[in-house]
Amino acid sequence: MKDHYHKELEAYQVSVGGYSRFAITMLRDAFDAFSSLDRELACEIAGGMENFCIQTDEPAMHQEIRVPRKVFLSLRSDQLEEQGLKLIALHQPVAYDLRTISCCMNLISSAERIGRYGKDICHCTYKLPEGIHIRGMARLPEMAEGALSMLEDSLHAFQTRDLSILEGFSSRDDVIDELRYLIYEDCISIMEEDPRTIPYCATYLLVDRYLERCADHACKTAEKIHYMITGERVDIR
Amino acid sequence: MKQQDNALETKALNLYYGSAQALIDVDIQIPKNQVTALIGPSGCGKSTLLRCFNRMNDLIPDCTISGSILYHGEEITGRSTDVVELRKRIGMVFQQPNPFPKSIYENVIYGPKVHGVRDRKQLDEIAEKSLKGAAIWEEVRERLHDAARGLSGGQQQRLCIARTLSVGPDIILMDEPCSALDPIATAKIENLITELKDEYTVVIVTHNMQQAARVSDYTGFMYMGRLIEFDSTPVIFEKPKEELTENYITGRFG
Ligand SMILES: Nc1ncnc2c1ncn2[C@@H]1O[C@H](COP(=O)(O)OP(=O)(O)O)[C@@H](O)[C@H]1O
Ligand SMILES: [Mg+2]
Repeated sequence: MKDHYHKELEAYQVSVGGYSRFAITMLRDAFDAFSSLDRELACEIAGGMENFCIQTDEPAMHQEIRVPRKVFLSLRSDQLEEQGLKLIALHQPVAYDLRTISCCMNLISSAERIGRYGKDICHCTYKLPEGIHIRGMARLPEMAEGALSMLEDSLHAFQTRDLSILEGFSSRDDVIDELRYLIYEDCISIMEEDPRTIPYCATYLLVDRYLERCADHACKTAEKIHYMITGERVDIR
Repeated sequence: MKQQDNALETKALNLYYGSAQALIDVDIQIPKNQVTALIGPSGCGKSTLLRCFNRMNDLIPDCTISGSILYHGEEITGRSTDVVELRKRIGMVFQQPNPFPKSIYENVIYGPKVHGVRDRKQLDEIAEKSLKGAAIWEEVRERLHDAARGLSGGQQQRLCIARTLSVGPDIILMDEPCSALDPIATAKIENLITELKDEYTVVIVTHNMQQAARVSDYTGFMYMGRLIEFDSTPVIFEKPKEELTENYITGRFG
């Protein structure tokens, strides 16, 4: 039999997991929007270019008001943080319960960062003309897949409390770091070859950086999850 | 490695009330000038262990013990131990404040008088020092000769602490000293406990885990007569090693 407080704590973890899922999806969709230079999708995520991207024949008052995902991202982060603080204030959790709430708080702020990188990637989409990318986007798709799979796995470990999922995280992060450097070098030489590629490569360098940061968040989250479960600190990156 | 300075220590301590065993192989080390809290569900043996430290269990018929109890490294379970002297050195404060039906002043100097101090000036000094030590001097200095029972519960409890201090102990045992007090009186006692450790070693039994977390440096978790886990208080409350401890402090018991 679980008491009310422990049920609430479990529900809280589910909500935080859901928020994290929302942020990862936001990043994934943002990268898809960028890959396909789909401004409408980018706009649905990041807003800010409504006049430019939402086209409709409906008269203005019949238009559906769409709130970009970035708005929800930031509202929900505050809500969840307050719920966590409330649990601490009302129940003075200790031991595993305390470590869980602390981990949730970390997950919330990481998720918000990740979502915001998604938003930044959408802004990169606006900067490029509609159409197609150059040079297969350097190796960004590969990098995005690597970073997203680390984020997915850290969320999965949080939800299942299965630490084995986190094994190999530091070498996976090494791969990302290496890619980041390779993409950087590639972009420089592409730009040197042909200055007309500069608008593309410049955004690639930004996205390169955002994705590397996301993988870093996955590693930090993994460390927090490890601490939540075992009470021991580990250094993944 | 330098050996830790322990005020009290038990080794393989077993205690029986008649044939019922209340303490099982307890090995505990109480560090000097620190506050140690004992926590655990009702009936797990906290008070029993506390009473061992100043041989209060001697007063209970049919109570037998085996193993050893060391006070600053000296065995105190034997016949040769001067129990009166021991209880001067190791004082005890109980759950229910229990001042004598006398004046505040008489309460504080009762112990020293019993132990032979007659000089009025010396008694006055002891009274003032003890009442100051128990953080109640300012509240009672103008009415030292009023009845102790006219004080509030929290003041009575601090008076009892002053009474304990008056005979010059170096260890103070407290058995749920705040259970009968309101939150403000409790906060005052907790504050006092933190101040006491400059001069004294404090062992406190409490069923209030937040209180243990707030006031103690070390915490021992007991369960069914055994000391399950003993560690620094932040470790016990952040990452205990034993599942039983974890379940108890997070309220997942039973
Ligand atoms: N004077 C006594 N005579 C017989 N049994 C006792 C006596 N005092 C305590 N006990 C028993 O010893 C066990 C431990 O009691 P106690 O030390 O008071 O636990 P706690 O302080 O942790 O609540 C309990 O089972 C209790 O019933
Ligand atoms: Mg008791």
